[in-house]
Amino acid sequence: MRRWLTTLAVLMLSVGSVRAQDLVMWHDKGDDGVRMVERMAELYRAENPGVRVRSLSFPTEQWISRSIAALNTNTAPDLLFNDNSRIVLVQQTTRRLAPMDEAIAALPEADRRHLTASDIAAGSLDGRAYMVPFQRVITGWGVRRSWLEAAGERFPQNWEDTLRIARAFQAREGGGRVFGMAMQGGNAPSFLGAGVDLLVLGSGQPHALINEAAEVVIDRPEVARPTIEYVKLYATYRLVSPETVNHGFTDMYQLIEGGRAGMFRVGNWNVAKWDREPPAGDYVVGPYPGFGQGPGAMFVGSVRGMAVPAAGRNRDAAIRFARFVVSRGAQQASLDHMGGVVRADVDTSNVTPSLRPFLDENVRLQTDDFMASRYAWYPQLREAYYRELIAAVNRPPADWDAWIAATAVKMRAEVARLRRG
Amino acid sequence: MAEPAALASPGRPVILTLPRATWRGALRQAWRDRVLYLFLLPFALLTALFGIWPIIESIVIAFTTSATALSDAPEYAGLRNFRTVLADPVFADSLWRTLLYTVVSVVLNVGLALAIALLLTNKLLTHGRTLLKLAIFLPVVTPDVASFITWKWMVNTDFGAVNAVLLSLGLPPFAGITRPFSAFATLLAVETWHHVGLYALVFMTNLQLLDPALTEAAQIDGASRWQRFRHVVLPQLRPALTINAVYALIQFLKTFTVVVVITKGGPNFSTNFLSYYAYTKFEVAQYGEATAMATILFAMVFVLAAAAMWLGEQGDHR
Repeated sequence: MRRWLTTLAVLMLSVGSVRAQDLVMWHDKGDDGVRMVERMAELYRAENPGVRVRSLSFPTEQWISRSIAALNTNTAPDLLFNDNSRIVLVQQTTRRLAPMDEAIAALPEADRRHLTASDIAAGSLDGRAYMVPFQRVITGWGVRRSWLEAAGERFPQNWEDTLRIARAFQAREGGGRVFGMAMQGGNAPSFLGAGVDLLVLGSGQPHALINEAAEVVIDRPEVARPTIEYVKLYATYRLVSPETVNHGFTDMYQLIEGGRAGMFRVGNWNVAKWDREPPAGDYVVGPYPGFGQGPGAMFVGSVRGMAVPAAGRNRDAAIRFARFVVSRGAQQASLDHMGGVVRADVDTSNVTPSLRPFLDENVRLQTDDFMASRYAWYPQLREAYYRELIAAVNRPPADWDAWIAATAVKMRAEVARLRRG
Repeated sequence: MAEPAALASPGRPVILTLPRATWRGALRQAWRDRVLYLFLLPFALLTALFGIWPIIESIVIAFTTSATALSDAPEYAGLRNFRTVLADPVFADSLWRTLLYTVVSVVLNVGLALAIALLLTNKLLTHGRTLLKLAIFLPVVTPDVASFITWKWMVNTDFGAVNAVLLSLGLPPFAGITRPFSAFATLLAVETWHHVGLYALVFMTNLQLLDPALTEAAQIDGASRWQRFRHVVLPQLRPALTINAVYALIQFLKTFTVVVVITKGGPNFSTNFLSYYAYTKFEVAQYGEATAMATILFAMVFVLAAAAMWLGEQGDHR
């Protein structure tokens, strides 16, 4: 009897030890994300035998609610992988993620030197980092190559070029069915994060709404001009589909993939698909147009990283894996499957021409200011700002300068209200 | 037969004041109908589990902080979520939009359904009655998401069929869902298309049960066609009117799917109805505020539906 019990105990302990090294990760990155994690897990297992990492992908809203519920009931997976804004939202809501400052500080110098202060700030809240960043989500300005050639134009360098080319596309291809540009404007994150920010930060400005001191900057000339021009795309230039006021990214992709827009935002995560399927490589990618001071920049709109629940059963093992994703091998897997990295020393010999500009060290990068990490009320401020901008789309003001000045006054009042709590 | 004591002591629950003999009678009756109750029990349990319990749970969450709402130890916040929601100008705007949309929808749907029912039951309609009934009822059984996506394409200003027809007739194009007013009108039209068949069916059923002798008598007395409809037919349609109005009220106060599929609350928040606004709060993990909105909506639906039902029954003098 005693022998049986001993055998059973040994078996249970061995099963337990194997389970302790089974790491589960949740993300919302679909098949590409699952394949990337599989490849990373293979590499990690070679160095850490017995450690298995599995990932599950959920639709984004489910990922958020499941992660929050699981963290609050101590049933969370070992790792959470997502964009910085969602990691910060989860931490704001639950306060149950493990701080990763020490893990980042303890990275080997060969890995750590690739992380910028912005990468770390992106996933921070109240001065503490809650994810190990490993993918920069970069967007650039894409133009249909064949349309550009047919119009006898070159890749636009500034806003004037962009407007001229967009009008030429609409005139040549037939306005009403084909549009100079494709954008998304159906809600605040679309209209601002995937719209106004592209032009403002893409033109090299560090902030589109407020600066680090929470001062409203929208009426400063260098910010006001791209902001007004973006609203005019809808309101007066009519270079985007009228339907854009309701568009999310899927609607915008329909226009792009359906060959009905000449210029559009291209993310480094789009390239793998758009090299295979329409527009099937028929596009040139470069920086966003500049506003008077030469060509603009590509825009780092998001940073993705790995977070670990503070009360996770395999917390230390999970942190070790989170640190591993910045290593060169893991970064290669990240580039190969999702198109995004933080390292500059990965092998880029196999990347397609469409992905190459995202990795070009000569292209200027402008990183988002990630104000939501600094000010918890920032999303509410953006909602209020969006209401002003979409109202102007609906009823274009006669005097745009007066309008932006009046909007700035309203936003300053809103900031004061939000800061009071 | 003895009057229940409740009649003599208003304000006290009837069930507690039933005389002992009545209690015994009720229990005896229940025992006699035990097979019926046995069959009803699984459905009652399912309703309690999947119908009533989630509502109670949602109301409880409305009194907790968003951060701890989805946890095993929620932190109660009293009325804070309700105060936040009621102080939110977007919520107030959304509430008024929802009420306006509901009023217009109820009047439009019930009125149109009555007209369709009268048309389809008219003796002069000798051919194609079945086909017309099918055409009216088909949208009701069409999966809503699929049909709403089709409508979204049809009213698309770039390539939609609606504008293609208007332009081919030399008429000005329809702004579809690109302008606030036309987006609101588009949702009204799409929802009417989707639901009016059901309301028409209820009216048609009621119309078939009318007593023809009353109409004939009124005709002999010299009542005009309008007078016969107004004073003889319409009062007899009160059951169908009440059911349709109450059901439509509930239906349109909760309008959600059509917004998600076609407009996502836009443009310029013109279709940001309460259900959808609450949903957007869920998306950003503001569970407390979202369920507070859902609770307010639930209370509104309950009170308005009960009031409409009471009004309908008050005037029932059949």
